[in-house]
Amino acid sequence: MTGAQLLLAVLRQPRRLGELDEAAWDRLIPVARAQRLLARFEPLARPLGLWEGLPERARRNIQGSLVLVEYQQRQVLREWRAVQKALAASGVPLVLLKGAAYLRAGLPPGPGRMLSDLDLLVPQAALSEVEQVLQAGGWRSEIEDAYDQRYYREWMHELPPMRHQTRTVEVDIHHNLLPLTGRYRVPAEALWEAVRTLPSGERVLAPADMLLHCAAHLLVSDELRGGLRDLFDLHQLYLHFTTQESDFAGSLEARARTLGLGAPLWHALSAARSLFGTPVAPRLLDPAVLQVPGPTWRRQALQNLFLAVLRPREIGAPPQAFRQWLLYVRSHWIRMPPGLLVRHLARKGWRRRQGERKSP
Amino acid sequence: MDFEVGPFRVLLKTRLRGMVAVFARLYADFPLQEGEGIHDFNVELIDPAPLRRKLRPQSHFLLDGQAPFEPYPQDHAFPLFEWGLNYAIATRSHSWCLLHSAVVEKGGRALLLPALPGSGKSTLCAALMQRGWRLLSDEFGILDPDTGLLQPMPRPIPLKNHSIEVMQNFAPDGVFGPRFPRTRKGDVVHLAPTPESVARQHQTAQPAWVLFPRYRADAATRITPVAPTQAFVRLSNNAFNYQLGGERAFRALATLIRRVSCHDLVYGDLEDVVARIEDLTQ
Repeated sequence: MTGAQLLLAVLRQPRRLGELDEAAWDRLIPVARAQRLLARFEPLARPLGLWEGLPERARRNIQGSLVLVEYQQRQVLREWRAVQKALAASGVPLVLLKGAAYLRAGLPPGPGRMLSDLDLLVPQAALSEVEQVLQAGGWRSEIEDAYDQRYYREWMHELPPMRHQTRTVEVDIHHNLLPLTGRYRVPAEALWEAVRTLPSGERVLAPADMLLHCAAHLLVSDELRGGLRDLFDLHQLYLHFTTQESDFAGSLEARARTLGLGAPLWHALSAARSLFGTPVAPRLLDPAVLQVPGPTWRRQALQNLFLAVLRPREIGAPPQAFRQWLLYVRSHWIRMPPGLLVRHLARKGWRRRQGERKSP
Repeated sequence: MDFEVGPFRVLLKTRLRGMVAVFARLYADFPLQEGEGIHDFNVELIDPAPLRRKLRPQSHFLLDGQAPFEPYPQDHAFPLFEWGLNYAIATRSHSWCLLHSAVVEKGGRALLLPALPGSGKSTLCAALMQRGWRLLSDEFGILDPDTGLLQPMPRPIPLKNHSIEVMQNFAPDGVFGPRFPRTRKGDVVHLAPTPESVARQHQTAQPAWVLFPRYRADAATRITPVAPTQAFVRLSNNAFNYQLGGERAFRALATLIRRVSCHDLVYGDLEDVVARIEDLTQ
């Protein structure tokens, strides 16, 4: 098996980590590293009692990656404490999203997961207050360009990313899961109604909403490259919640309707089932149940495109440049109405010619 | 080329002609590995634009097929490889505590020479190696947090500018590589590790002494004690991955500091300083 095939095989069945010989590890490690999944092997292998039996050189490489990941996690959680402290007096409720939420809620994608940003959800009405408090506390937006500032404020679902002057972690303050201008309009109040409070008092999204956010983020993001990590998060969340929550599939279906995220959910679950063998409830694979629009051929073509881009590549294999470009265009198509999209891409194209720094 | 340097197994692929010859000279004592196994570093040195070869030949350092740096002039491929491998180790091998220090050993006991700017640690460790000390590394103090032992990784020592002539006079029998003029760090000549250092490259050593060297032209050798707490701060501030290691790195370094004696060392004359270090470490 190639390194890419091995990666899918061990993510599908972590038990197989214990069956690999050194030649297989030699092919697997670089592919897993490139997909930001190498450090995950330790938390996958250890509970199965396989860790100590892995070849020493494999363990050294995994451990090296894990040390870096755990450092990043400590930095992000430290930032979270600082943000909580700064905003405590304001009384604004904060919801942890993505990586930091998995960690604080003790969910399976947490251990070994690389993360560099702190993603938070706040009520839209509190947005400017949050921004002012953070600015007073030493956080700054690094985006100076007026167009980019406007891009975030008017069209996106978050404030321009902020960073504390003395630290490195980026803080992303969201007021919704997806951009405001896009095709999917998520009713934020529905998210807030279902929010769960952890024993520590911290808030995270409800289980179904958390998985829907993961799916939406994966399929609307313009960086599907390396999206295998996010799809594996979704796979692990699905496995976990089906054992922890009663009728999780039913609540996923209901929440997908409420939040209007049936199509991204269908695509993400179908892809997870193809790549990791996620035991998805049959109803959730029915496009009619999740109200996925469009004819079968178009749905299937899009699914094939996602799979082609998500599937890990061999080291040194040429990138899926054309397919990635198609998805890039699509991600913008979903996020913006056509007129705005043409203006936005024209401006970015012009900038690229001017050799400016990469922007959203 | 498939070979081990200390704890790492490296697969180096290159067709750059100059590179192969220099590698063969400076890595002559390293046995090539046969058979399958896990490679810590998959490195390629390639010509990024063969069509331009005639005009301004270049070399690219690829790690797992990715180029982390801008290309170098092609006749600097060997320093690029050495620098790239250091980069790869420093950014990945965090299962060890990576101190920024030269390390030499005698009788199973290791002497650390931590680097501070202008310290002349490479020159000093090269001199000690040429006088019978075993080279563990001129750049990385690879500390195993579980055992407290130092892991060797002997590699060619890059000598810069003025140090080149000094070392060629000091050790005319050393195996030197070609001169690479005007690299990022000035002129560079590499000195190959001694055969004994390479033969024992898997044999760990117990840390025993830390000397913070400082070269000053014409200065008399002076060795003065350093408080352990201060040595701890200096070593941790200067390490490659101390911050990443958290509590594990703190404990590893604290244990090391408790086991060693720490001194400041000012030197201007290599023969004299080598003799004084012999006395100190008797």
